Amino acid sequence: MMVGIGRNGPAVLAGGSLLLAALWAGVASGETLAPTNGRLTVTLPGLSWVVTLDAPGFELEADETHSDGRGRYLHAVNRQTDVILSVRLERSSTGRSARACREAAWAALRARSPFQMHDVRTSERGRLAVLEYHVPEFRGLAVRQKHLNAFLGKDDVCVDMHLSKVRFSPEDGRLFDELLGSVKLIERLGL
Amino acid sequence: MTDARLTLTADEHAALLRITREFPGLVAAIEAHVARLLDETVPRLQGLVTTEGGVDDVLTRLVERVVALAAPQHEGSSVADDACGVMTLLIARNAAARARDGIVQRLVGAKRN
Repeated sequence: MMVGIGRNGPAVLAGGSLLLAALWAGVASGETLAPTNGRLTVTLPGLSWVVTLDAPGFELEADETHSDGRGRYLHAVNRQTDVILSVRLERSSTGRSARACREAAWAALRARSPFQMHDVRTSERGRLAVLEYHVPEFRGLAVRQKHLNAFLGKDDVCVDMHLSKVRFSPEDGRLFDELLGSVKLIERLGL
Repeated sequence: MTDARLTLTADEHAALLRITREFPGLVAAIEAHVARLLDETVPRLQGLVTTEGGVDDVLTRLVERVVALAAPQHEGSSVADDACGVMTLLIARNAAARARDGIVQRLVGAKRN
């Protein structure tokens, strides 16, 4: 197996199904509040609404807006609990429901995830469409990782909130539940 | 100063960010495995590895071990296998580089004291 890193990154990826999108400009739009007060707020340029969630203890590690303004990606880590949170907002050409967002994401995940996913479950929690799965191991490396995606759909935007934790135990479920329970979609006044 | 075998270039850091973005959870999964191997290995090296170069050698071998463990068990390799191998190497190198100072402190610093 070829493993080597060139100066231009993992070029082997470019020709394969695991092609990494390089479309993200990494431009901070200034519309995300770092979760210093424990609340993360995220939106896209031109949207009349924001998504908020309570994420105390999380450090924001990435906040990137697509160069055309049609997508946004945030990545935050809680080093106390080892929970990793990412939030992705993407505009589509048509209106999307939360379930439709989940279906599209699940199709993409099945096609290209490097993980073997176990115990895949879908459910609805209020207006969130949820997808959960476990990754017991990654190519022989034991990880016992839980993944949960919660989707919202509004206007032409899909919101995908992803939570994961390695060495997951049943007691850790409350960490995910608390985050999901705090998700709010709020209209911005004056827009 | 971190060994060049472990230190990521700017391009490699950018690739790592793309991996984090495109494959949620993958970085944490491999980092957790590196951390577990370090927890098992480092205590046994107390008094045996006494230089920073020695620590770098240990970390480099550990990275190679993680990549070997994650290698496909079947004959031949697909493009996806190769991509996973590249990503595993990159993530493991970064995890080892980040752990390096603490390990130097424990092994080399302990000897100095």
